Amino acid sequence: MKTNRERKPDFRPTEREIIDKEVQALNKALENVDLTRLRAYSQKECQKQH
Amino acid sequence: MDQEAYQFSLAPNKFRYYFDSTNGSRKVRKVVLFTESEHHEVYNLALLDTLEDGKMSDQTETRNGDMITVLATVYQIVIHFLEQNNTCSVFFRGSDVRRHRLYRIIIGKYYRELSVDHAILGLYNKRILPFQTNQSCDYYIIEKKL
Repeated sequence: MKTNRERKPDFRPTEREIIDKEVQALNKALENVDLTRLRAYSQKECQKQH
Repeated sequence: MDQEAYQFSLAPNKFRYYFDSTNGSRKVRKVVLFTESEHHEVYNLALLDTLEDGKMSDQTETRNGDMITVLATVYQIVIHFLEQNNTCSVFFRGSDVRRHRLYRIIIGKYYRELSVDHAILGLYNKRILPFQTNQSCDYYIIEKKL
């Protein structure tokens, strides 16, 4: 039976680390982005249909 | 998108869905997570595989021969999430260049159907614009039309 010291370190990220990395990347991508365009498009497209 | 999809389940916190990708006796638990960014109602979508040791990965290739079924399931999950959270925007991208391009091809293929009830947008060099089939974007964005 291996002790903790003998086990190879596991460098694979945990779920939390994966998600944190993805969200950080999204936050960075959204810096200086005009987010008012988000809902504007969906509402404008909707208005076009009606 | 009338493609066959897997049944999925929703965890009690409402932002975690899971389903099983199956091929014969091989089963891989997939998890779809919606995580709010620092911007109100702007969510990141992550698709993760559960590895044999219980750890998660967004990089592995499942190689179960069911990519279209998996993507159809993720699509159904996004639709369900937006039904429950209809003022939210969902951002996602491929975990590598190949997957990112694949998502563009699939969105382009089903664009007409997708855009009936949803706005399909992209983040193009810091600008949010309607999705364009022939232009690469940094993120794909889906939101429900109100």
